[in-house]
Amino acid sequence: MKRKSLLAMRSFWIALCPLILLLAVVTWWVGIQLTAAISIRHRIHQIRSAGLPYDELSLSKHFFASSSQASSSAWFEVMHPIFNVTQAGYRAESSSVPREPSENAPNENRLVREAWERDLDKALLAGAEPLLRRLRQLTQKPSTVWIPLVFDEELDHGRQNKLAPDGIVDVCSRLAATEFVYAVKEKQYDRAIQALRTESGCLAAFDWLASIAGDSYRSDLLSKQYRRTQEALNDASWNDEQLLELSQIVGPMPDIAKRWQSVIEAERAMTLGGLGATNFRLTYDIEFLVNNQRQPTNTVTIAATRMNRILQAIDDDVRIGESGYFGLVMRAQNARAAQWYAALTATSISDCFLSHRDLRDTLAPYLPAVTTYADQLKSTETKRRLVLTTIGLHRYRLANNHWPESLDDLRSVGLSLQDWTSVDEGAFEYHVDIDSDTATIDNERVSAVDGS
Amino acid sequence: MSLSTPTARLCWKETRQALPLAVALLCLTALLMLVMAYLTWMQDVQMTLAMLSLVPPILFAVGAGAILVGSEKEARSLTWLTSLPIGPRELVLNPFVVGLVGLLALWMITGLIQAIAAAFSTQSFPDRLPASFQLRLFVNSIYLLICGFTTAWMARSTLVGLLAVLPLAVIPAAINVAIMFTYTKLQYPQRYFIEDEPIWLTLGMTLLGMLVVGRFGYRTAMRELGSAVTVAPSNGKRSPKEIATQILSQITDRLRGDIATKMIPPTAANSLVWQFRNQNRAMVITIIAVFFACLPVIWNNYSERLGPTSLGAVCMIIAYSTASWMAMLAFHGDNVHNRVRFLAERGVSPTRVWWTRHLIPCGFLIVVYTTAWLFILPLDRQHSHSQKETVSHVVVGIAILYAFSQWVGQLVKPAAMAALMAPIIATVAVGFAFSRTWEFGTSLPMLLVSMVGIPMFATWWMMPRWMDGRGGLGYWFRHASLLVLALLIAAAPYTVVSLTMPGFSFAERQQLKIDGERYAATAVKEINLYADSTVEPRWQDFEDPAKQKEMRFAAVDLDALRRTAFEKLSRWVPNDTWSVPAIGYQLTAWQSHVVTLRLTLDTNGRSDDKPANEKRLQEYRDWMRLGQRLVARLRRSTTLASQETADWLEILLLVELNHSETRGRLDPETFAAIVRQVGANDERWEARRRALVMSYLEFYSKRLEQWRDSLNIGGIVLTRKDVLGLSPFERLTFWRERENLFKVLLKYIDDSRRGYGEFPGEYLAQVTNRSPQYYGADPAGPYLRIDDIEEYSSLDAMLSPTIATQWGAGWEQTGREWLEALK
Repeated sequence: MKRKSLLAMRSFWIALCPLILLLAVVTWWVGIQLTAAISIRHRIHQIRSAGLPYDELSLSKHFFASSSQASSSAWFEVMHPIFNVTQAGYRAESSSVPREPSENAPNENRLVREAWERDLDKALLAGAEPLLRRLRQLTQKPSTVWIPLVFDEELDHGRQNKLAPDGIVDVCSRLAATEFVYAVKEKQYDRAIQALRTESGCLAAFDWLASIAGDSYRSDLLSKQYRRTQEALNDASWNDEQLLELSQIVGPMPDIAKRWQSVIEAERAMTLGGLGATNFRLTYDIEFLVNNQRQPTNTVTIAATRMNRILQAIDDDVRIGESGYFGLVMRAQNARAAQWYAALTATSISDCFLSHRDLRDTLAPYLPAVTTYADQLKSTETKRRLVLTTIGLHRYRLANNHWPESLDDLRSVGLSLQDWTSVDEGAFEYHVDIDSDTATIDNERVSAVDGS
Repeated sequence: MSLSTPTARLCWKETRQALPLAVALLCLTALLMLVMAYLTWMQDVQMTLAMLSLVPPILFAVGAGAILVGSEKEARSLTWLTSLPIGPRELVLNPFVVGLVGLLALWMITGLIQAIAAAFSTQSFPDRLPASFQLRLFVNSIYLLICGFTTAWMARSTLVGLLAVLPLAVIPAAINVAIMFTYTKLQYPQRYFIEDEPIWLTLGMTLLGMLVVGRFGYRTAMRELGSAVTVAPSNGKRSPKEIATQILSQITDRLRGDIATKMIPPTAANSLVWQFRNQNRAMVITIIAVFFACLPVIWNNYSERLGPTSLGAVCMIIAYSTASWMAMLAFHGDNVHNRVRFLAERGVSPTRVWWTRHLIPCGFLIVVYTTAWLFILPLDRQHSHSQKETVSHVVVGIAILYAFSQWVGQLVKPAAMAALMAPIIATVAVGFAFSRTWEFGTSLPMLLVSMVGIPMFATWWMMPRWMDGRGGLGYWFRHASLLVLALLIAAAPYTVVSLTMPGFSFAERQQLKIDGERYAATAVKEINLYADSTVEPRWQDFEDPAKQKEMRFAAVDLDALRRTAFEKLSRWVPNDTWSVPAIGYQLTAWQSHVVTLRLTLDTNGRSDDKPANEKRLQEYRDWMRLGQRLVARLRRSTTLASQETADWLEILLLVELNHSETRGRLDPETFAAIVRQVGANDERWEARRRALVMSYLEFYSKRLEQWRDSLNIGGIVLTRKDVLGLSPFERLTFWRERENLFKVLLKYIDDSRRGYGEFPGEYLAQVTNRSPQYYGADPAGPYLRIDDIEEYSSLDAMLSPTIATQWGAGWEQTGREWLEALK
């Protein structure tokens, strides 16, 4: 009888085979997603325990806690007037004809045009004087300012509101930069230094470390500031005290590890909030952009395994900055490559209801700007070192009445090897042309105005 | 009786047999046409109708052989027919001729429908449905008819014969594709797509197919008729076909364990599963074979590799139909020869029969179809935007397809009829179900209950009657009532929303209309500052360098810019009969100029240039007074956006008042006017109520078509949805949500005026789809609250305003305090 019942069951089991197969597949899928979901939950718990932001609201509170309310209030008041002033500046500047006369233009025209430009700046700065004065007051004691972010994806501006830090910093620094250039032309060096200090104060006030895009923008503005300073050093005669002040404004090397970590952690918080990852789920919804359109157009469901991989990838990204500037870009590129590879080898059915191509195009490098960001930071730091070295050269010349024979001589003005070394490419190239009494550093001509 | 009488009688019999199929197909097609006309809202429906009119002749071509020959074989009436004084040649040709005539008749009806559609078509009809396409179809249908007859003569079972048509049907098309592929590869090695096949090749290949298949079919039929008359004695020599059949039979016996199981009495359920499997073995194998034959072509099409789309489409239809046939199989085998009576008479439990009948087809369907679709769908990049919806819809769609097909399988006894009707009826059911999700907001779980659960329940519930063969009116009425129930349940969400989200009652609406009339009597005319805005010339527009210089200097002359802005804004104030609608951009300018002036006064206060100081001071007073007058005008507006703007402007005035030196800088008259303005609480609430009621009445009176671009409430855009694109259910929800918003805000205004209003911040954030941070009462923390005027205020949010963000917030109390201090 025993044998009979077994044999009798066989056909029934054959019929059930497909169902068992399906059940096995579903169990496997649920199992791996459950494991991944638990892992995500555990990781988020770790982030929360460490007091780090883990979603948009906690990020908002984090920013609020680390900024000065009084300072925010004061800054907010002048925001619109400053915007108005710089708008006027834009209207005057925006040109369909080149601002600089062409090389073939007669010198007379060039001088006339330059005089115009100076008068134009003068008029703008005269009108903006009360605001500039207020800005100087505000930047005397730099403290971080907090303008509430509105995490509203319906706005064209994405996650940030219209008064996003990059916009504010842009208008403030533009005004300060106009004053700096004007003051240098007018040889009012103390005023120029004050303007430079105001600009740096603006950048410091809104140094939120809130996003890759925002910090890249800030870094770009810093680069421009260094560039302007570099040009101003050649065109004017600065005394040693002023040069020392300039080098103080340029400042020491920033703590890249801390900066990088904070920025990526903020990005992680926004990502987790955006993906709804703080809820325990087997699948998560993600909105992604198609064909480079700005608006999120599609909602795609991704499995917990994919979410977990995104989280791990961002965790990897956090560590990119740990070893400092040296090799930063390479580490970022390597991390990107590893994530590409992971996306290419991911199992479509277990990961996402998307084809591989979609997965690759849209989701693979979740923070795609990381390499560009690393490149931007590296380039800005190189420019900082370059301008610092140039200031050192001028200070050396003032003290010794000749350019140093090698950059090692700059130790006498307080610089170190690191200051005249680029981030990844070794020490700057340095030459002195005795005939023309000029020096060249990293292909940048350094000259001194008579009397300096 | 003439000699032709037996032939005529035979023709009459064949016609009687074929007529129900033709009529059923025409009726079903008419039903599909109605559904499509309804779904497309009669938009470009002529083309759809024309396409659908092609369905009856094609399906008739496929099914005629099964009906005319297969059913004879199944009823075992062939032997009797051969005993009549009719030659075998006539027995073969007569049904074919009847089928051919029927096919031609259906083509004529199709032509008629197309002619009618063309007459009403707004577009050039021949361009939409080319003659060559129709010619190909026509010739192909004759080929299909021949295939149908051939397979019907070959197969023992009607259904197998019917299914066997499908592989034969695609052979000429597949050969054509192979030819064109080879030709393209040889001629244009780099080309990605293959050349279209010329019509002569299509027609030639189809005609060749007709000759080959027809000749083979004729010989098979003659052989079949011969064997029906005399059974050939076994002479020890077997044909290769017989040998192959025997080997195949032995292999399948081994595989299914028949040799062992035949000897052992199994349990009832196992026996039933075993019996079902053997009863439908040929059909199951055929369906699976057909499905898997189609799968590579579908896969090929979807993965965007080289692939002919027409063949892919045919394969899609076949693969889709196989799901339906598989489901139909659940009860079909038991319907043949009333086999189920055998089980009924032996007292087998109807429930056990029911679930054992479903086990194999349902299991197959779940595993193969769901898995296959899940694998194929990700390859379809064009539809990646709705992957999630697509997957769940496909699963539910297949479930509905299954449920309705098995229902048809139980209800319709003739195999060929059931096989042809099941996919169409199930398709209509799927179409109906998904149209409900769009129109009535029926959720997928509810579809599962109504369109899957009820058909399954129906076949289970009626099992005893079906097994006993107890038809009758009660049987059909029960089925009909369940069908009606299934259709009605789908409308449940619509009813639920209607009941649970009530708008204003008739009495409330009437009251609002009376209020509106009262407000309208005192309303002032609106003006639009944006309409007046002119594009300022840029300095680049001038060629004269002197003019350029002048323009550029004017652009940075902040004093002049401020004067211009003042003049613009002041222009609207003196006219007392006009109000000012929302002017966010201009008010941003107001704030920036006032702050600039105050900072200038702070700076100049330390200088001794008294005339300049006096000038600036007067300017500051003028701007503050302008602000107060703008608020007064805005409060007279009947739009919510203007009220929002007025709120912001009042807050800014309070911010200025809170500066320690402001009071000293303002003349008493200006100061008093501003304080009276910001302290006028009752007037403010009245203005808001007036704007709310008038905005509601405007919203209520607008016709749906007018919402398209200005989907706003009182000048505030809450959503950018295209209302015309919404389903009826979404429109109802949309309408009720808006009405509810008005109700909540009206209640809040009335309560606040009585002193106990509770701000519905969370609700507003949810309805307006904005962050709660936009609202005065934000749960995230005090720093975002605009009501604390010691902090800051932002006019930025005014550029995309929303409703009631600052109503009843703390600044109103501050305004009152200023007023009391003034008194």
